[in-house]
Amino acid sequence: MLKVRDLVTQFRVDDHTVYAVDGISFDVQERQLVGLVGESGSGKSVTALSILNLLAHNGRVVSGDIEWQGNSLRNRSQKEWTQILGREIGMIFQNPQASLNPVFTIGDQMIETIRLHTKCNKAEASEKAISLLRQVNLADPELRMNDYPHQLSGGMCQRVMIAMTLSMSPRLLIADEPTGALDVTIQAQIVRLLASLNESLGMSVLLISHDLGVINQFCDYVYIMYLGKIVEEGPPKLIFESPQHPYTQALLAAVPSVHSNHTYSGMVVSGEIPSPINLPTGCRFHPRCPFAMDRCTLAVPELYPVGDGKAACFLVESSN
Amino acid sequence: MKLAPGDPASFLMDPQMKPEAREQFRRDWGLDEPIPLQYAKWLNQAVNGNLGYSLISHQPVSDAIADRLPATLLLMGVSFALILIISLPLGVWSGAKKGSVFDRITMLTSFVGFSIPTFWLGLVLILIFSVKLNWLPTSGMQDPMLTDAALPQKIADIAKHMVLPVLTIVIGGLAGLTRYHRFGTIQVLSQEYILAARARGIPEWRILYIHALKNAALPLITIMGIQLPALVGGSFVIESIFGWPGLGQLGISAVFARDYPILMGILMMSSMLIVVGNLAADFCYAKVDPRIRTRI
Repeated sequence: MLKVRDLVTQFRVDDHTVYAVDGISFDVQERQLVGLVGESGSGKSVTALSILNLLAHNGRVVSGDIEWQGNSLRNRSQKEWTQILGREIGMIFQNPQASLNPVFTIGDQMIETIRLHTKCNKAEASEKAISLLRQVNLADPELRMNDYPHQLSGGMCQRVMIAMTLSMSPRLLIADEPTGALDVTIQAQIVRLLASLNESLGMSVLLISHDLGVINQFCDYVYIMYLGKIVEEGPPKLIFESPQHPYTQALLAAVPSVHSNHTYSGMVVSGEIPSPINLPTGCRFHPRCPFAMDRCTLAVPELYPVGDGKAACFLVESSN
Repeated sequence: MKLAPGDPASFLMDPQMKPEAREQFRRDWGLDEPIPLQYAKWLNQAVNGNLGYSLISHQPVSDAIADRLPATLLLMGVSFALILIISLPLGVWSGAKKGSVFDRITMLTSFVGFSIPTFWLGLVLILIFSVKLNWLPTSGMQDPMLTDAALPQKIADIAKHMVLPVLTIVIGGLAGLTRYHRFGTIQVLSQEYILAARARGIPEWRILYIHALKNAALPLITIMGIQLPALVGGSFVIESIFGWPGLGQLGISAVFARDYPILMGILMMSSMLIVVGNLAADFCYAKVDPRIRTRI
């Protein structure tokens, strides 16, 4: 349904070019829940914003193609975008409280969105808003309609954002770290809500997250991103049970586990994520990779197939 | 104020008068008493609604101010309204199109406007439009020949007299406010809720004029609350250049004549305007921002 091919997104910052997303390809199929994982700064959010043409002024999709239902999303007019945004592809953000306008009530904002996309009067829109808020398990939706965002908790705001997005019944929901700013218990509730909406409405979800537990539990397919490139992809079973790329292994090792029985617990990624202005040559992970070889500093590994997935590492290539 | 040399006695009296007579005058008006005592007396009267009498014209101060206030309010009200009407769309638009040609021209113009001293601008405008082109009157508020004319004719006459002073004030005041509007807009447009609104397919004009404007207006309310009394203060210069018969002109002549009661009255008026301006700003704040409303 959504097909991204060789997407390259760059930003101009002063006189530097920031290579935020550098040639990534991925798919989201109908009814699928796809996970996109990576550290902060790996280009996950930029990928999402590139798809929806919502990049800041200094950002630009340089090359590649984004196909939605068989048609390219690149070079669409502003008018076409108002038809696509929300109605076809919806998006929710990391910080739900900041995603709602502080000076308008929840009701105002929901009614505005509903009336923008469906022809109805204020009372009908308000009724619809209340039923949507009920659908996302927000308590006392009638009362919440008159509240301002600052009167609600982060979890409640995220439910409102989800309800607002649902009102436009998008085919695909991009959730950009939807639980990043929430309590752990609320995180689980929100992700479970997204998974149940994916199930009951048949709405595809692209879940951007660094919470590997959540990804493992709910996703149908997972992409691992590092510094603007996809380093590994596959069904969660494969990724979590036999990760191929050293970066994925390191990511899994970094998850504090109650059982602490995974194989990679000894592996620690040293150093910081390099600046996307000054990218390392060759494989981008080589300065931090415990298995780096000479070859890694010179050439960029492509994604080599491993089982049901793929990994971009020369170790994988040689083992095949 | 009292530190300045000279006093009303020397302004009013014939220089050839005997020093004894001058002392007598001082005593009659209580000018020989210590300053704190004079102030206490004034305050006592002021609280009871008596602002005293002008030393020069012997008119009650409250009457003198009431006479001049409408002219000042008219001039300032029109200027302030114009500044608001022009600066808001200008600032919002150049903020939304940051870095565009329109934005650059607006910013350059406002920078120049901000840098020009008002008294110089006023004089240059008089030179061009009144002296050289002879389109507009140089000073005053009404043509003395038209005192008996019909009302519409009078209004047109006042309007004609207002053009230059209003223009001077607007050019000076516009620059700052436009920049504030622009900055506020840029800041608000980078907020996450604007991105989220765009992601909902809300058209750009609604984002700018409904979602962003109300938020961008918040800091502006404070600035306008401060600018309102500043405009009245600024009228001192404008009014004396254009001979506008308002509070400012009254104040200037009172300074030169050391007419203390009048000066005190005007100062009190200005202070009250500052307080009223800030209070009005606070009320507007609560009206616009729900986060403040709940704290009250």
